[in-house]
Amino acid sequence: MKVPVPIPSIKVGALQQQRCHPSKEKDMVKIDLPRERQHDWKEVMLKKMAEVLEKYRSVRLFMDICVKCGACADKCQFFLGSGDPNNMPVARADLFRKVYKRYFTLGGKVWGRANEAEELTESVLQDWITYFYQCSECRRCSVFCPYGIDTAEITMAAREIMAAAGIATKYVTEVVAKVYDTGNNLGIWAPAWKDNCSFLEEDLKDTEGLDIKFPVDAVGAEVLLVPPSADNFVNTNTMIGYGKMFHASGISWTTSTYCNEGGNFGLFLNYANLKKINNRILEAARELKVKKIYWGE
Amino acid sequence: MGDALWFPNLFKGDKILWAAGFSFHILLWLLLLRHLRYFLYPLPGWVEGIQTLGLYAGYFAPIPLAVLFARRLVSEKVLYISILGDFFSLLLLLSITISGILLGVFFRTYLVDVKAMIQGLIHFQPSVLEVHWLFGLHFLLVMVLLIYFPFSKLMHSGGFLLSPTRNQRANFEQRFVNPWDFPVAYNPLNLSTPEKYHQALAGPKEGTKE
Repeated sequence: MKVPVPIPSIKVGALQQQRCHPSKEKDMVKIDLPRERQHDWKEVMLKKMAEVLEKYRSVRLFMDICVKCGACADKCQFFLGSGDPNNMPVARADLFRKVYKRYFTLGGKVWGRANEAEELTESVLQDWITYFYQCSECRRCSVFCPYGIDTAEITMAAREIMAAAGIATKYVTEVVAKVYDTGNNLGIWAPAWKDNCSFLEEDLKDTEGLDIKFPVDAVGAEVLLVPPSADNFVNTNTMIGYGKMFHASGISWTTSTYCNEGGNFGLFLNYANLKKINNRILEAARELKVKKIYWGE
Repeated sequence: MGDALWFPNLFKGDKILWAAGFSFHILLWLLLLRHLRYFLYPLPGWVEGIQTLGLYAGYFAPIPLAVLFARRLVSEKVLYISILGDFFSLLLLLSITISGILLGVFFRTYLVDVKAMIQGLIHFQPSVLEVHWLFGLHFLLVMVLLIYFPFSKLMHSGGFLLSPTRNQRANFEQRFVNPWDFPVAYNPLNLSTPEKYHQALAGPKEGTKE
């Protein structure tokens, strides 16, 4: 059944003060980012921005072709929940667009504010930190955009630029740093993972009388399963489901203590970390000499 | 292609905007094609064929434009995101269409002369044209539009065809190699690295199954 969502009227600055916790130094050093915000953050960000615009055709194109029709305005969940106008996808992209216009387009350089171009100042940066971390990269807006403008791409670009200058949030950096220590977002160490798996085996035997193995680090299995780590910890029914499925189909499988996380938080931070976390899956697969990878989140 | 012709995404999201936007773009195409009459010699048959249709398109074109303009002012959300350029391009198009209608209905211009002048411009033999000032205005506004065009959001007309979310298809058969890919290395502070995992696998296997 379709229930119409009430569309709020705009409340300027409703979520202006709702900011994520800033990242901690101990995490930043582990994920190859500057320890804290660089003193020359503006130059670093603009340099990175030029690089990003060069690399991602999508970002530069999305900056240029938006006609501000407003089709996306009432589609973002963050806007529907808060009414903060900067959470309309178009306005969120505008935070990026005005800096782009100021430094990378003729119209913005010549006309300045009349063409809605703005210098990258401290207050603009604060808006970036606030609103680009209020996007969950769900891409609902791109479904309704007549040009398929994908605000998630712009959010990713903005976060990549901010990360280069040492600006990130604790939630993301902590999780990414944890992956490099334990192999998963939740920080489950290898012994705990093994113990959880053997617990599930015993549990299944006791409750359902089934003799199903949950192999860990089994070299030479056919399939490497990369589940979301929460399946081993909270949503164990899903993990039991995997076990039953593999047992019934007779496929030899294994999980890895090196890489047991399907959700890649590098997506919320920058490309280098995104790649490094994905690389772990390949490395684990090579070490375990599996033929296939089943991977989900 | 369907995306370019029917704007289905817009239809899903906003019916009024779709109706105005869609009708405006169709009418604009008709108008542009109709005006080819003044530029082409000899005249192709199909341009002659759409003259009547194009003429009516001209009468109706200001309506969706006015709707789009009013929408920017009435809806607080759209007003918030609108910038000067949005109003400017709409006003420009509105005044061009309205001056065009006035020229067609009240201040009839002797079009043979107009065509002779444009042909002269095309063949680098400019001539002076004696017409009503309104025609000059119509012509000037079009020139302004053409100058403004490449620096503005009006570039969406070509740009959206390049939009990666529209023209790329997922192709799992072919491997895509990232042209600007770069190697990543582990940080010495990371506790879990490929080497350590290799050692752990090679060492005594307490706790592992099978």
